[in-house]
Amino acid sequence: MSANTDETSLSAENIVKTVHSGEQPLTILKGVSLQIKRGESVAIIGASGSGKSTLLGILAGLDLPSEGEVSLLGKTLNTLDEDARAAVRAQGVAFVFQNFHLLPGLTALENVMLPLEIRGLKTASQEATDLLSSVGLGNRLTHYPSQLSGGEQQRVALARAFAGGPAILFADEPTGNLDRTTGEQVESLLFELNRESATTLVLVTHDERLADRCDRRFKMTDGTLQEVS
Amino acid sequence: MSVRLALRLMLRELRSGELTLIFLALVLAVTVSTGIALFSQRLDLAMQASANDLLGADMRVRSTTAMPEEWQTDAAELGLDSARTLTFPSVVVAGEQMTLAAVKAVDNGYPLRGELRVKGIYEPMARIRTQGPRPGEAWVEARLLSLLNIAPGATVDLGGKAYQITGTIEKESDRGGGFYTLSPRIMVHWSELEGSPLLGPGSRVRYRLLLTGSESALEAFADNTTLDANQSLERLGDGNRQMAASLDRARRYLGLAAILAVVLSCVAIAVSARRYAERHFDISALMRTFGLSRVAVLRIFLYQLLLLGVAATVAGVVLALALQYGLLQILADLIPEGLPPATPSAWLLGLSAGLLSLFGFGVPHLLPLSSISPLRVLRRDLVPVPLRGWLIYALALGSLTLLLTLLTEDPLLSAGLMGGGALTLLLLVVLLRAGLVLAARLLRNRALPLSLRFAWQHLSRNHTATAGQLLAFALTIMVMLIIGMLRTDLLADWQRSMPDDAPNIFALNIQSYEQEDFRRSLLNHSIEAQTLYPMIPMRLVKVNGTDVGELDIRRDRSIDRDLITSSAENLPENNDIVAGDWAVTAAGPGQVSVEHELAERLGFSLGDVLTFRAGGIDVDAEISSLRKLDWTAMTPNFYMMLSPDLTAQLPMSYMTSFHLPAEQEGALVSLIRTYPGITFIDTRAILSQVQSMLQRLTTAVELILVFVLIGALLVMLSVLLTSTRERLMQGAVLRTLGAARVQLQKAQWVEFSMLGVLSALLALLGAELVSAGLYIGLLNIPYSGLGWVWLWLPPATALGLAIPGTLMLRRVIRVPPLTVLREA
Repeated sequence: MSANTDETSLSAENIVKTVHSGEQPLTILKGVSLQIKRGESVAIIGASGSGKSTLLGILAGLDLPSEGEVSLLGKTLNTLDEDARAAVRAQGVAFVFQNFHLLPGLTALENVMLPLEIRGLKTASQEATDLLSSVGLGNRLTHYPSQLSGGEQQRVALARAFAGGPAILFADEPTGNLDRTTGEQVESLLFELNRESATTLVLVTHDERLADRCDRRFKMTDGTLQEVS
Repeated sequence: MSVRLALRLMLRELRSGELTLIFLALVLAVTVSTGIALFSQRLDLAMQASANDLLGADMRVRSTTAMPEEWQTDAAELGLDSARTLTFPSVVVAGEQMTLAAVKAVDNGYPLRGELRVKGIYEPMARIRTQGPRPGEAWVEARLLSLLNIAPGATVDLGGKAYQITGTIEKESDRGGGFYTLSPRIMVHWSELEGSPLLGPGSRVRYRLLLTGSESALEAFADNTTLDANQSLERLGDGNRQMAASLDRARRYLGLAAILAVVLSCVAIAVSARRYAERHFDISALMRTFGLSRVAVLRIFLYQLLLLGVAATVAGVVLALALQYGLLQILADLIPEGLPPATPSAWLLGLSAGLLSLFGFGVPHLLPLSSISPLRVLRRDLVPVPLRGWLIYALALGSLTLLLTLLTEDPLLSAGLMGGGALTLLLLVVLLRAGLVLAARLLRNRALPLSLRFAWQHLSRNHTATAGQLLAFALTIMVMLIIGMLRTDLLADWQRSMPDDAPNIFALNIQSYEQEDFRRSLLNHSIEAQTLYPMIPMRLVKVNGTDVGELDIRRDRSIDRDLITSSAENLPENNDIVAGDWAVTAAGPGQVSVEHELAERLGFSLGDVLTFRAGGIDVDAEISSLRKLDWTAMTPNFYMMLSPDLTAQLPMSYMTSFHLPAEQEGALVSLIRTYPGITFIDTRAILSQVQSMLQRLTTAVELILVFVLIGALLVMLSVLLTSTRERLMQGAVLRTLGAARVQLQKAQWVEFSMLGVLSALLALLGAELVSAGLYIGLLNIPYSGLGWVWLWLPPATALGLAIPGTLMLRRVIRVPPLTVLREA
């Protein structure tokens, strides 16, 4: 599907995550390992509460594992503090979320411009306009999230995620909040953009059909991960 | 990068209304503190200037003997301007008519300060003069013309010299207060009286050396000049205390109102900043996923606040200029034109007020935004750890104290106010917590109606949030209560000191044989007169048997001149006994009551025996009481009041005062015609001036109230907004669970009403405590408590909160619950 190369984009070695809530420590991830090559699309599937979102947070450097080692875009995250991990994210990590995370006070255009502006891009406005046109929202630039449908909001979120050409995109149930037809449209768009920009895609979902469109599939069961064919 | 990004984000946020409340609160804080600081400073200058007007100088030396000429040379060397005046009573004659007049001779330097407005013979209106009359000429008050039955241009005789009347005096601002000097003025040139027999021994002449110039030069003059016992320095505040006291109270009140408005806007800033921070957890987390470091995220928000602060400061300072201009306009008549501008400290306050309140009340709530975990994008339950409570309060208290210190220029007062305020707040918090816990215990396992249970559960579930809301509301109501109560009492106090029916005409020299006729004449004109008091000019000759000439007090201005004494059976109105017993004085025989300040100055105490001489007769009187007089009340006042037995055989005339209503003008003319021997002194002009001043002060006070009200509304609005989202959510969930709209509406009404009643009760308690302290400590007004307010305020506040509160939540009732849930 995608133009695979041998270069490793993301690797995780024996990840353990234990949280202390209540009296008993709770181990959510029990020794998870995986390797994802540049340009690959990978789906992590599993039931609610199986630990897939926790894994996504750790893989993306938003959280640290209790044990094990994560390497993202060539940087070992365990040795970095939060700000240094943020710097790694700034180099080319993007996200798409189940509930879109668009800022309600900003228009569609401004939402897409935000990461570009943060990176100090002078042509933020032009680039964001182009991106929104490419997801079919060229005529909705000045609309606020509340004026857009769920599908449209997720398309804005996709445009934002692909702004600045990320090396790796993490998606957390990207179609989870959408009806089937809209979800399929957004999916297609996601894979299309992914193909065009040769981005590594890591997506977490419980939707088997969506997972089937990825190069590789992993199943999360009770804190352990297994690749399924 | 960060600044531009922050600016762009801020502009977008402003558009969406997120920052509006913080901005408004900031503008209010800056406007009120700067406006009041500018105004107070200029009012201080104005008060000083108007007091100077009354004095006719910045400082003056008064003496009963001519002053050495070198004093004027000394003054000139120090860079001071000077002028000499002398005054004494004398008879002025025109043809067959004669009358007693207050003569004033002025040199070429007069007037130095204040306003001398005179209408020349052929001039259509009076104009302000910069010099006194020329030699050979006299300017007189119109009253003198009517008493002598002459017209301007006529010639009068004073001390054997003829003067042509070339002007009518309409205003002489340094005329002086004591009403015995209020016989009509005749002003002549200084040179006319030099060596005049009128100034011989026994004349009651008063010399004055008027001085104006820099404060340091005045100080130097005061230090270098040795005064005799019959000479004294007069400075500001000596004259017209009533006006000064009223203005001072007004200024304190405005200052206090400003402080409270600033406190309210700070609370609004804190509440809004907290809400702002909470609503920005997501964007902060999102920005972290975009790769921004913690510091960079914080910087963006701090820059935003800073930009907001700067914008609010600019807007606030402009508004403050308008506010102080408005206040100055309202008080225009009281304030001379061309005031020097306010000092840098007022501007410093303006520039720092916004940033200080922002720093103390806004920043602490924003700091946690930097510590937010980026993982929040996946797990909404992750919230940053807020700053420690004590740190937040310490920062707030610290910056507010600093702000108040700048505003009041009094660190001690500010710290005291803050400390007192913090203690009151602490007490309220403790009471509140205890009340909530007690109520929870009482209501547990009680079968309450559903709506009441919803409401109570919502209030009691989150103690901290509820306590916060209650405190904010209570604080706001408390401020309004205090400020409203102060206003009412301040105005009432002013009104009391100057009632509408205050006597405005004095009648002197009423002879014994005509006193009954005079009383009847007043009654015929439906005028109610005060008691007629005898007036007996007496000279104090001995104290405890020793001749005053041998005592240290011999050069005091009350010695070696006639004192007007009186006697009465009843203690005159506005007299208070501070020592001894009036009944003893009144019953006699041989008793005297002395004004307590005079007694103190002369070293008299109860039991001393004073010997007075009148008409060649000496009488002994023992001091049996000391009286405090209210010099501002327009009623006859006497330094010495003898027991009636002592005055019975002495020759005497009588005096009284009465209120002449405006429509009774004709009565005065008729009285003057009927009783040519009686001297009438008209004080209506002075009174109306004072009354118009009070009117203007009242308007100024009301204007500042508007600002306090805006502050209160901002707090209410920001607190209500803070909880709206959560309440909307809860309402929507309840509706999905099948709660009827009516039930929800009822629950909302009950909850807001509970909030209202509780905060009103807290506010009342706090207000009673704080006001009692303020009244007694700061304003010197007796405190009477809140009384009926306890009855009407709680239900009124319940309504005042329930109406806007339920309006804000009407979406829950109107819109399908799914829509609300989706938006949230």
